[in-house]
Amino acid sequence: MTRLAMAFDRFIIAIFGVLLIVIGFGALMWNADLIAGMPEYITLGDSAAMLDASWWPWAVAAAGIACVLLGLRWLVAHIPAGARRGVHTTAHTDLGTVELDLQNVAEAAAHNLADNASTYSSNGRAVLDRGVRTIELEVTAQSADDVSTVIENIDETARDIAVAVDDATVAVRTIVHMSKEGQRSRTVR
Amino acid sequence: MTSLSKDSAADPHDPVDKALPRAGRAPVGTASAAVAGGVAAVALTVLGAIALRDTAVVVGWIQGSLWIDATVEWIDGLSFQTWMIPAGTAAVVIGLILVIVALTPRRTRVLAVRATSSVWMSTDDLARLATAAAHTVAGVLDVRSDATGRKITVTAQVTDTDGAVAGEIERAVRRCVHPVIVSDPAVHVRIHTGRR
Repeated sequence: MTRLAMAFDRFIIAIFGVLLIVIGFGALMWNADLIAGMPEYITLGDSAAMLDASWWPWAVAAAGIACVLLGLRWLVAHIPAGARRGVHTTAHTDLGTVELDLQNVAEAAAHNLADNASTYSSNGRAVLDRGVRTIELEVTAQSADDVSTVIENIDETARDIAVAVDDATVAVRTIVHMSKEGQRSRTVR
Repeated sequence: MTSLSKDSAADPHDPVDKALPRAGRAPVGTASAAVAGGVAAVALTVLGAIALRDTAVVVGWIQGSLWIDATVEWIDGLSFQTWMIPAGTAAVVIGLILVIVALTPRRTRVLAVRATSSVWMSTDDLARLATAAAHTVAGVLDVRSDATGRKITVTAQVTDTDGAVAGEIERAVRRCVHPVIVSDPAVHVRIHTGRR
């Protein structure tokens, strides 16, 4: 999800929220005699006559098509950009252009980390995080005693990724988890 | 599957001289506004589908009444009714929630880990780490831990309410957490006597 899509979500939700507050407040105040000049009925006046106009059904159709297209486009904006287009890095050589799928690099790195006895499980994925191509690894340590070893392996793997990718703009981050089986308490939250 | 070489002899770069990659930023959770935005996008699509359904009725492709026209006619001439009080209250509450959701920043529930690369641990996993450390203390029967970015609260069930046990638990948790977490959160220990 891009920053623009996020900002758009916030803007529309804020506008809709304010609109709901105004409508709700209006409904509560309607019969309270606290605000002078509140009408007894809602009257659309001449606007209601447009229902009988010949162009009305076609205006509804056009609005419907616009709403469906905008709604679908808005929904697509919520799909992570990396999932839609993939996350790649490109190198230009004398022989041509080489494109590297960072998802493969992430999976290979996770595979390497999983080979270690200190690691309970690991997985990797390539994401676009706030506009930065990022290889994200998640590693679960077997137990509390294994955390330091896992962190050393993560640092070594991060260096391996830097060598493999050879692109200073690609970021790497790792999230360390604790195995639930590696602790003795049943009531830990 | 492709694999990253661990064989330093085959690697043209000496492992000691290998540069670190660019540090990834702290992971953040999904913003509530994005969830609300997704719901609004679905609502807009449904609204468009209703408009197209009405058009299909006008054209004669399907049978039925015109929902949008009926709604407009219902609003025209509407007067105050008692159901508007709970509905209006609900609208104000939902509206306030939406405004708060729109303005709330994305939360970070991870702590930086002592590492040369960008490594993070969630507060839930920090609590698990503290629990495991507390379990190493003699006399501890059961442990429950909660952690925030600043504080770890360990609640232990012990065989004896000897004050020394609380101190031992605190030291064990500090020994385990300090080498891992950069911010060095405070440790609070509560003990209760009990049987397993």
